[in-house]
Amino acid sequence: MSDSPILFVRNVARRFGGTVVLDDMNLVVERGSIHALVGESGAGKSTLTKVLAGIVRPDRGVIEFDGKVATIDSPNAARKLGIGVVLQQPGLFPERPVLANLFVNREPVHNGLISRREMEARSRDLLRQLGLDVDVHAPLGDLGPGERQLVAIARALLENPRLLLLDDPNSALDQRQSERLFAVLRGLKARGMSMLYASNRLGDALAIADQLTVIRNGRDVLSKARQELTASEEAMIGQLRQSLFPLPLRALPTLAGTLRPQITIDGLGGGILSAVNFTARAGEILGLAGPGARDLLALLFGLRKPRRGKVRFPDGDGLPRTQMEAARRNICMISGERGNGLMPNKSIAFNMANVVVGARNWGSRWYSPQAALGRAARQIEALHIRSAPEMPAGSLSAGGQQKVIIAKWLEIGPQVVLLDEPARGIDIGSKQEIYALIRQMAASGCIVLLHSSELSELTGLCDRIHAFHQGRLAGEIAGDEMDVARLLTLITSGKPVDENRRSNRESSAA
Amino acid sequence: MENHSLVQRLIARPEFGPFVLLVIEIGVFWGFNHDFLSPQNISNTLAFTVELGLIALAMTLLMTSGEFDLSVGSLFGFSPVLMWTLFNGGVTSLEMGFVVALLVAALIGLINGWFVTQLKIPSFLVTLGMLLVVRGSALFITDGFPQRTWSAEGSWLAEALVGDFFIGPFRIYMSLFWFIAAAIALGYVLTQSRTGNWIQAAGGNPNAARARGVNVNRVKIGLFVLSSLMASLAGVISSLRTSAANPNSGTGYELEVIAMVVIGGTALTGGRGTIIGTVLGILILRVMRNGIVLIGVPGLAYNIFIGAIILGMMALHSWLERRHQAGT
Repeated sequence: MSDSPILFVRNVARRFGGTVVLDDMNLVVERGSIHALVGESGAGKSTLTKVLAGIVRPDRGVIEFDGKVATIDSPNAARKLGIGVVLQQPGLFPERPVLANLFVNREPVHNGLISRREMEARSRDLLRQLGLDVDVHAPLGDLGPGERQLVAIARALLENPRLLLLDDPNSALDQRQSERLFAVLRGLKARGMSMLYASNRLGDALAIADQLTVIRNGRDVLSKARQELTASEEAMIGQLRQSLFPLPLRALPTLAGTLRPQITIDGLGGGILSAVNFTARAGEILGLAGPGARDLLALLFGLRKPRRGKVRFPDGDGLPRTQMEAARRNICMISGERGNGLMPNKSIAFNMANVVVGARNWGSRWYSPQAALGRAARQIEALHIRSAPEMPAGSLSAGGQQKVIIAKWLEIGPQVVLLDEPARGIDIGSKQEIYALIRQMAASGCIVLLHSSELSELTGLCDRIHAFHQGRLAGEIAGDEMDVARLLTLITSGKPVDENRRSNRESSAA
Repeated sequence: MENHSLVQRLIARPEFGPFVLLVIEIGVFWGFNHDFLSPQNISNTLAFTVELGLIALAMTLLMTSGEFDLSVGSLFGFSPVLMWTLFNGGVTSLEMGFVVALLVAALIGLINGWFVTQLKIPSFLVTLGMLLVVRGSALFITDGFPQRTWSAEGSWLAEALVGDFFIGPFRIYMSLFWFIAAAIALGYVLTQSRTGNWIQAAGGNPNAARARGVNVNRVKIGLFVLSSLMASLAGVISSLRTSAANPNSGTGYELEVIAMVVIGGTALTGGRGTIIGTVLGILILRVMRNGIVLIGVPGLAYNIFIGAIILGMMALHSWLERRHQAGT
């Protein structure tokens, strides 16, 4: 009995409106093991997690927990079975203290009073294990995103579940926090806890999982023990990763030469930036790395006021004063911050229309539902968005939402494309597609400026990279010099590698 | 250092702003007219303050859960009218009439809560509709005339709710003790009990609260009932004290009560509430109403000051919030 799997999921299906999210999902989680659920975003991982947590009810299918058929029709039912959950959007209360967040609806009560002392005592060890060194009486909103995520995980662990569901738990964590979390999870496994670890990062899944199930379009396509995974299967799952960065496209011949459109920046200062000079030309992807790069994009998009300096855009004018002006001059900004510029309750068609209708000063300025639908259908086709124009934008996966944002800017035919972490927090498949789109924009004659804190994204995608150090332009790397280590040295020290060494030598000699 | 951070923490509390405002207000009025702090004036102010205050306390909890109730003012008028009508018509004793009035109020709260949670209609619309229904009922059953109210003398209900006595030179009504008891009980519920955590969770992030197994709907319905009951109780107390049952009484109280709650620091959007702040908010508005008349400003100008206080306090709260966020 104790060797039998703790969880069976058989033929579970669930649709939302016309969208089939789970089609025919099967899953077996062994006792005392970590089972990774891998798939692109939108494949159905989160929905399956919610089904098991009692938040979403399946349309059909059977769930067996601990050898018995289980009806998980409410979060409380899941809790009674011993299923704990950390959702992708963990559902925290930023205004309330950390301690209150840890014990929502599970508060220990003494004589009718909530016992803060007991809450502290019960959470102290766990928080230390997770490396979470925060004031538990401070509001949760004061914490960083990684710390908040750890609070959500601690909250689930406090109940000592027999099966822990983790939906993309380390998306907000940095490297160190991630390793800590993995160590804690391994410790819990050793004590007999079973875990289902949903993620769209194959590397993480392979690092921690005992078994692995690949989910695609709401179906399980492969389920294996980690060590039985053959190289070719691993390659099949990982193929998305290998070709993450598409090959550079050949620029249009008309873009060659020095007469092509360009942005000239001369002595620009603003935000933390000072005295920035460079030129960005059409047809190339110019990377921006380091602190200050974000301020630069904000300046170029009219979100910030410059202190000094001159900028000349291809249309001959200077910096836009407002976003509206930027949009009218075909300058677009695509940011990876979630919820940035998207109305989740409105349809995809409406979202795609809102730049082209709201900002342009040519053509009809009325919103035409018919034109919007046509436009949306065209972009959905072109960008491979898996949905229909009438669906609310919020129903898409993170990658899909990001594509909608790109699509709405493509509609104005941008000349200058400012990208701020355009592929943050989305699945590998969409990432790849977005990278390809960025390449395409450059090849078709846009001036593309790309900022990312993921340095490999910059080296993989850009023609040249400008590195910023303390708000000043520290140097440029291009061609053969393009590697992450070199870039990192530039950002952190403000000097290229060899100079750095030289100065080290000098200082040691002195 | 420890001391310093204690002061800082006091200042950072949402109740600090209202507290300072109240102190300044009292100081200014006293400076203009020393009668402001005379026992007689304090007694008069307190008598009516606690009646609105009872409603504001319940409203604090309701607003913390993310909803509000516009029908309290009309219930304030309707409940005593119903009680007196039943009593004068010889249908029930005064006490039974009181119980019936409370039951009807609870039913109204239940309907409000049901519309909001089950039909998912915003509480603004639901309680606006209920405001009209209840006010209309009060006018209809009385033909618009005040009810006879002179026969409550000596009933134990009147004694328990508004019996008065003197402590030194202060004339105190029993209702003050009910108010204090309610403030302590609800303050305790909001901050120290699991129910209070449910209320704050329901207002702060309802979906997350549901995912943790909090029955958000039941919490909200319960609070709508509580809010109606308190409005009804306050109406009866007021009617017994002043020996009047006018179907039009309580008009506009809903907004004054909501103003008291938000001035005290409770978030209109839910998730954060403070009973201490509400008590301060109640005092700020009532002291203002009493004080400006006392120092010779025409009473009709009262609303100008109330509006200015609301705007000022909201600006202060948002400024503090932003500074707090920037500082960390």
